[in-house]
Order: sequence, then structure tokens, then C-alpha cells
Amino acid sequence: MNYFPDEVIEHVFDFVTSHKDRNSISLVCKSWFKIERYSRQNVFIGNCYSISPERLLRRFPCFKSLTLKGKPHFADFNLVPHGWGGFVQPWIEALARSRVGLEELRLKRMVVTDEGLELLSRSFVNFKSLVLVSCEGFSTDGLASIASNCRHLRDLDLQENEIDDHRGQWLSCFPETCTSVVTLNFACLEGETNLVALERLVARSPNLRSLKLNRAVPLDALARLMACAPQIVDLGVGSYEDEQDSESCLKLQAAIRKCTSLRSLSGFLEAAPHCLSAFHPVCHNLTSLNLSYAAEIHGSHLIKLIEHCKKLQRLWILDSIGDKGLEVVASTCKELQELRVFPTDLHGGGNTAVTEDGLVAISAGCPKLHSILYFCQQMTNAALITVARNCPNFIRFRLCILEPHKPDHVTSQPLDEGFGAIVQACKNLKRLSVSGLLTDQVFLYIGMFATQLEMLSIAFAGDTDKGMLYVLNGCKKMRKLEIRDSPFGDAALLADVNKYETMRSLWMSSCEVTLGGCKRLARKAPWLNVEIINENDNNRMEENGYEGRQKVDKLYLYRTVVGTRVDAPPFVWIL
Amino acid sequence: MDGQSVYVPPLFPCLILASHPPDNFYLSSFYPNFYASSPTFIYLSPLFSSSTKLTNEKNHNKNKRRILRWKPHKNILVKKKTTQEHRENDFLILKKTMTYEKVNELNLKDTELRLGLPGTEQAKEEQEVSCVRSNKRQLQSDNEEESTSPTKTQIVGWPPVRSYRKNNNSVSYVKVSMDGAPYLRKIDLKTYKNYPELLKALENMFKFTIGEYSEREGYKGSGVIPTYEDKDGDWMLVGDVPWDMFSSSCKRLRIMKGSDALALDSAL
Repeated sequence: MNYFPDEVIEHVFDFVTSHKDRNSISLVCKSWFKIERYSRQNVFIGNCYSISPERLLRRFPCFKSLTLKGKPHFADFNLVPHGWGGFVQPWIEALARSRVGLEELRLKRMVVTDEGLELLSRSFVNFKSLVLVSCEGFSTDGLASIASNCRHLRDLDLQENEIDDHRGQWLSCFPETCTSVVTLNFACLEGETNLVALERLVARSPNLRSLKLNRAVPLDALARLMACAPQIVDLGVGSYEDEQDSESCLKLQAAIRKCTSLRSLSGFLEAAPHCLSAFHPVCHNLTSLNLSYAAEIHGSHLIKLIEHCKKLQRLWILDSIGDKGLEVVASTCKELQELRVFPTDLHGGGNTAVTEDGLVAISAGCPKLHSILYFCQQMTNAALITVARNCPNFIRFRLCILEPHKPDHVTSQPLDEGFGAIVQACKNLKRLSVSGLLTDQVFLYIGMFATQLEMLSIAFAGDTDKGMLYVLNGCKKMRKLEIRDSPFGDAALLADVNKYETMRSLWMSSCEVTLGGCKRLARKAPWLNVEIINENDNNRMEENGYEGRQKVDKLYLYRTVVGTRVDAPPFVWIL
Repeated sequence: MDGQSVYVPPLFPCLILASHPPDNFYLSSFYPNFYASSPTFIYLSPLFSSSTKLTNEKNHNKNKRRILRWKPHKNILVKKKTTQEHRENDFLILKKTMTYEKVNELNLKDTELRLGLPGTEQAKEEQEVSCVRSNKRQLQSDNEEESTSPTKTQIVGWPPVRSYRKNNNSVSYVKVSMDGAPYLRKIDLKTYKNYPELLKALENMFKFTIGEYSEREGYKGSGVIPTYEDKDGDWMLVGDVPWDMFSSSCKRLRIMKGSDALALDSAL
């Protein structure tokens, strides 16, 4: 390869798109490092505090797309206090100052502001795509600036963000000349929508493929929108309330029949069952169905819909579907690859909830299943062993038994053997979440068998430090480890400090780790940021005489090349 | 034999019965061989019921084994605890239906004549492990029957469901009826963050004043009692359960007034 001119090598590199592969390429030799640097289009930064924007720009001066992730995963469950960090402002400012031709920005769990969005919209002429997932801190005013100023906007994808809805006119801020929109997702907005502006925007966007509406878009508007955009591939239905007006339903049915390209359906935030049947004609083409927000729809209606969806690959649903419903899924959806079953009753004790039988049925009926997230009330080792035998292809296996410490409900044994069977059978398992009553034994199995495991979530499990040690010693490819309410302490934390250099981050909350242990770790590993999050105590930890033995409430550590971050709030103590 | 024996006339059969003192709960699933290891033998006779109780207590005290009371992990933050929940957090077994009435302060279950090996109650109790007694105050059902839908202690960040999803799951608009008012109203529960806010809004909406809420006595003083229908179809008193639990399970509100309310007042 050394005899080829750089342009040729660069052309070859263009075919390599995965971040991991490009990272590997850049390590081959100096000239490849240089070529790869200048040709990298998409940069992925899994932890925004692991590197600074300046260093990013020095290394990759020509990138077009940036993906940034901020808060740790457990922030989704309110375990990270407000104000912890993950601010995107410094990044936008640094990028704006440089001459990088940013076209796409994808943020996850970050704090975004209206000022930042305004700056973003004004700084990059070719900006095309904004994807915000689980972000917060901004309002519809920020969206208005994006709509107004980004001439070539292609994607505006807002997934599950906390947006302050000023019920303004952000949709009407799209200029009449804007005809390039391909993705428009504002399902997470709570307030009223300017329906006229929306309809006009959709009508003048011939490339529109993905449209996800919020709950303020009623049925008749939906019918009109679908009539304007029969080319739609991905539809998020907003409000689907009990419309007595049958004319709306008829119009909707007519519009739906024309949408022959429709492959993905979601939304149904406020839904009445009888209109669901309007979608039956398109079900046979659907590959993705997300009914996990449709709390009002009874299981039987869900089943009637799913019976038509023979090509379904992805299904997100509520546990109101029940085991019977899952059996229908298992017999109908033979192409199913990903299943997520969410709990309806978060406070436990539902009669229609799913059990281990549903999981077994799915594993038996869906041979292509590789990702599952399953919330349930009860589980048995026997069921998990059967699932492992039926489905050895799992890449992601996340099981959440709603009650902490709950054992096998038939034998009262811990679920060690069940999860052990899963990790032993599924050789490609990359992500695992465990729950129920678990001893150190399950971690021994995980350490021994889960060789490809990259992310592990542990809650209310284990007996001694040995559990965590098994995992740290065994899982060579571990990147993210998050633990809560488990009896792992300093001995496990400090056993192999260098391990953390191979990982993105470690989260431990309500464990047995002490302040003294964390301090020792920080001393041994200066290339780690060891953060203690103590929202209740502020600085009480320092004053207390027994600080060495004081238990740490929340520990978050991550590797970084830029040292301690400067934007930490007072309740975060970086050792 | 570990237990003390009481003399019993030969006519009565001897029974092996494990001691179930009514005021002590324990986690039998951690000690599945509890009964087999050192059973307490009690000879029973209804004629000697009062002394049987003493025997039970004596036996229990004498045979104080390592009974583990499961406590939730000390670092679990519980959002809102009433005094009743404080007590119940220490004890995690719920006896599902207390079908035996307390007669003269005796739990007749102790003196129940049953033929069965010790440990037959085990399976049932294991199912009830870590169920916390429901805090619901049932208005129209027997006081003896325990609620069949146990509520869980709220642990921060559990279950691991995004708050965005939790918010969407909760029922938002509920109908509110007030006794004597000619029309119903609808309110969005999500716009309120706690009970005082909700009650104030209701007061404004229907032009009434509500009395002081106390856990023991409900709403005293005004003859107005706010009630709600929950997911199970039961009518409950507003204010008994933590706010989050209420807002996600409330289907309908009814503000009782006048004679119905007065009757309830005195019953509670």
C-alpha cells in the first residue's frame, strides 16, 4: 500500500465507515494516521469529558458529523442530579470559531441551550442534520432559530427530550423556500402545534421520509398530512383520541391506503382502540412498530394489529399485551430481531403483566431475535435456560424483574443459573442487564463466558467484592460498567486500576465504596476523572473526621486525556 | 424436643405446629429449613386457649433463633414515607387474607387444628415475600380484608424506565365530579406536582374549602371528602398514597359532600 498515492489510499478509506475500524486504521503507521485524520468525516465521542473540542479539531480538521454523549446512562433514571454537566455550549462555540464545515450534530444526554442552538444555526452554512436524544435545557425558541437559519436543513429529530414548549410559532419559522426536510420528529413536544404551518411544510417537502407528530396533532390533521405525504416511510402518530367523527376516520383510512412505502409506525400517545384498525391495510409492510406509549390501548386491540404484521423486525410494546399477546407475536412475527416490553404499572402488581412464559414463547418463535429488553414481575431459571437454548444469537439481553432481589418464583433459588446459561450460550453478547436475586456466582459465569461483553448493568445483586472482581478480570472487552445498590467495595474497585483505562466509564451508586478508597484510586490513576456526586452533603464529606471510611453515595469515573473538567457543580467532587 | 409442653387430656390429638406468634413476621424463604431444624411442639386444646397463648410466647422467646428481619438497603432513598410505611418497611411478609377474626385478642390461627407438617405454609409465604402492606384506605370494603394489590416502596430510579416514559404512562386528564354540582370538570393531573396544589385547584374550581388532612382521620372539619377511583376500580381517599403513585393510578375524582361525606367521616 505504500506505493499508492495518498488519494488512492484515501479513496479506499472512504469505504471504511465504522469508528472502530477507522481507529484501527489510524494506528497502522504514520502516513495512514495522517491520511485517516484528514479524511475522517464522522467523529464519535462517547464521553464528552474524555476529550476537549480543541484537541478534536487538532486531530480531525475536516469532519462533517459529530456525535457527542454527555451524562452517564443512569441519568435516564434520575440518578444524576440536575446540573451535573454535559454542556454542549463549549463544543458549539469552539466549532463555530474554527472553520470546520459541520453538517450534522448528534447529541445524547447533553444539556443544550437556546443560545447554543442559535449559534449553531448561524455558524455553519451547510448544516443539515440535528439529532437530539434525551437532551434538556432548551425551548422551542431554539428550534425556531434552527428552522429559520439552516437553509439546507434535512433532519430535525427530537427524541425524548425535555423541551420547554413556549407554544410559539417555531414551525412557521421554516422559510417557504425550505423544501429539503427529510426527517421531522417533534413527538416529545408537549404543547400546541401550528397545524397550518405544519401542513404547508409537509406539502412542500417532497423528500419527507420520517414524520413524527406530537400529541397536539388531532386525527383530522393527521389524515390531511398523510394525504400530502404518501411517500412517508416512518410515521409517528400523535393524538389518536376517541373521535366520534367517523368522517375523519374514513379520510384517514383512505390516506393510509395510499402510503405504500410506510414501514415504521409509532406514537399513539393518546389513543383510542377503534381507529387502530385503520392501519391494518399497511401492517403487512411494517418492519418497525412502537406502541410503547399507547397506554390506553387494551391488549386485545394490540394483538389484532400485530396479527397483520408478518414482516415486523422491531417491536416496542407495553406489557399490557400479556403472555397471550406475546405468543401471537411469536407465531406471527418470524422476522423479529428486536423486542422491547415496557411496564405499564410501575408500582407493581398488574394482572396483565408478562411473565417468563411470554419470554420463552418469543425465544421459541422468533429465530432471528438478537436484542431484547423485557420488564416482568417474575422469572425462573428454567425459563432462562430454555431461552438461552432457543436463542443463542443474542447481542443485547436486558431483563428487568420489577422487584429487587426477587428469586426464581418456583424454586426460590437465585437466578444465577439462568443468567449463566444466557452468557454461556450467547457467544456474541455485547450488552447485558441483570436483575432479580443474584449471588456472586452469576458474576463468575459472566466473567468466564461473556467474552464479548461491552456493557453490563447491575442492580441489587451480588454478595461480596468477588462478584465485581470476576467481571473486571474476565470481561476483556468491557467498556461501560454501571452498578447500583450492590455490596461491592474498595477491594474490588482498587484491584486492577489499569483496567479502567480500557473502559469508557464506571458508575457505582449505593455500593460499599468508601471515600478513602476513591482517593486511593484517584492517586494511582491520574488519567482518570474520579467524580463523587453527593447532592445532599455538599462538602460535609471533607469535614467529617472519619472520611476515609465514609461511604460514597455515587461514584462515576471515566478515562480522559484532558484532566479534571472545569464545569463541575459544587455537589460534584473530582478527586 | 425444644418446646415446653402443656398437659392435655388424652382425648385431644397431639399436633405438631410451628409457632406463629401474631405479632412477629419473618422471612421464611431465607431459612427454608426453619421448621425442620427445630420445630416447636405445642399440644393444643381449645379449653386451654389462654394458656396456649402464653405457651406460644414463652416458646418463642425461649427458642429465639436467628430470625432475620429484612431491611431495605440503607442507601435506598424512599421518596415519601408515611408512618405506616415506616413500620412496614421492617417487615416484609404480607399475610394476604386475614380470615381469622381476632377474638378476645387471640389470633385463632394459632389454635387452628390442622394436620400438616411444619413448613406447609412456606410456599404461600414465599410468594408474599417483600410485599409491603398496601397503604390504601378502602372505603367500601370490609376492614378485615387486606388489600389484594400490594404497593411497593418507591426506590429512586427504579424500575429503570426513563422519566419521559413514566410521564407518558401516567393518566393525565381525569374527570372530576362534585356531589351536587350540575356538571363534571376535567383536569390534567400532570400539571400538579403534589397534593396541596391539586386540592387548591379543586377548591378554586368548585368553590369549596377542604378540611385538614391527617393520615389517621382523613379530612376533618369541612364535610367535604375528595376521593378517587384507581386503576383497580376501587374508590380511595385522596392523599393516602405518595403523589406519584396517585397521579399514575387515578382514573377519576369525586368530591363527596353532604350526607355521604358525613357518614364516611364518622365511619373513619
